[in-house]
Amino acid sequence: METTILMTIPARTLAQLSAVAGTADRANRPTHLVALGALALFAGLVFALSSYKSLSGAQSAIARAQSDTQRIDHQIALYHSLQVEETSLATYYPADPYIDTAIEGVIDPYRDEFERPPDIAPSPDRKDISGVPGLEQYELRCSARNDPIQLTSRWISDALAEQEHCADRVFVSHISLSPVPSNQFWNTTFKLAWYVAK
Amino acid sequence: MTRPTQTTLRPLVIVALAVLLGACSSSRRTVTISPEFRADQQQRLVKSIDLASEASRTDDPDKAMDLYWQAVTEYPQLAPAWNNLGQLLMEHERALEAADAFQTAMQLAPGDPRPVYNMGLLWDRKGFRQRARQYYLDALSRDPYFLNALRGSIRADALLYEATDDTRSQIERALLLEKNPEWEKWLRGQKIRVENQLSTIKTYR
Repeated sequence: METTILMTIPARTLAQLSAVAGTADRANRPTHLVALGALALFAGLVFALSSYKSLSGAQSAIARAQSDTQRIDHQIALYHSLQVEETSLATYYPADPYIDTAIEGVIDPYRDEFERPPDIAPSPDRKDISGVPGLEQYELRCSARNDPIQLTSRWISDALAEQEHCADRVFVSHISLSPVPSNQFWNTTFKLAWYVAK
Repeated sequence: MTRPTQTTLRPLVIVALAVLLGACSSSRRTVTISPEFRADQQQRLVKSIDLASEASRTDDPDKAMDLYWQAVTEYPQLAPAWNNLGQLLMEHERALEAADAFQTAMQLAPGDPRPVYNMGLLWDRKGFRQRARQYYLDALSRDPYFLNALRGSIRADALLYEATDDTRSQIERALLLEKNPEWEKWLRGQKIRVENQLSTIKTYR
């Protein structure tokens, strides 16, 4: 089963850190002292000291952010490595012995409307799929004789839409229609197919 | 002193009007962002990143979700926090909120295929294959070699039993990228299915 993908939280960038540091620095800087010529030397020393302090502070913050990033990246990699994608043909095409019963069962509410009981093969035919050694195609042959086309069409639609076993899995692999000359009805033969992992 | 005639004044008037019009058209209302506002936003961003980082580190999903909520409340433009919040909401079966979170992440990170893919997976798990496929295709329009979206799109086609030239092209790309042997085997199976279906369609035409 596929899993959702997380996005890495960005590290605090140098620009963001320096912007924040710069804001704090500007807010705290004693500009009036700088303006006083008599204390220029003292102010210079203060400035040099504060620069050194903010530089070392920023460096340690960057190191901390880098360490955080590495730790997060490592954990994300670990998370992904733990999400071993357990998938195989059997995951997508598991054997389901009830599909043919389901195909037949969908007509129960209107079985009596058929001219004669529909002919459904006792078991599905199985055939290999060339090039895919692990997979085979099951095909169930169904036919109805001397019936309105709407009835057969309803049967096929209901079978394809049957939620428990057939929906998203069963498909029509063959269909043939021939009109009955004496009336407006049809003889219909169709095959419903599905894949099963060996 | 001679009085200026209409003929000599006219070019001057035209030039003056042109200058005035140019000035009017080029004048643009500027919005100044105050340094205080900018500093506040930067601090909010940093705080949001810290909260989201903490969320990504914690093993407790409820705590992580709470932290991501705080992160996006603090700074609503942090796309990864929205995406990861969406992932947690999805695991908690809160699909509607998860969809909103992925949608926001998609808009905030318009070049990133991951939130789009996650949105596809959300619909996929709810059984809406066609809608899921559209999101996978959108993710591929952002990055044509995004393997998870390639797998998702091909799988959706398989479940819908559909095959197009695009499906075949996606399978080719996925096979170039795939490293997982199980997926590779499945993709080879899909390649055969799609080629068979396409050749059948051509035969009927």
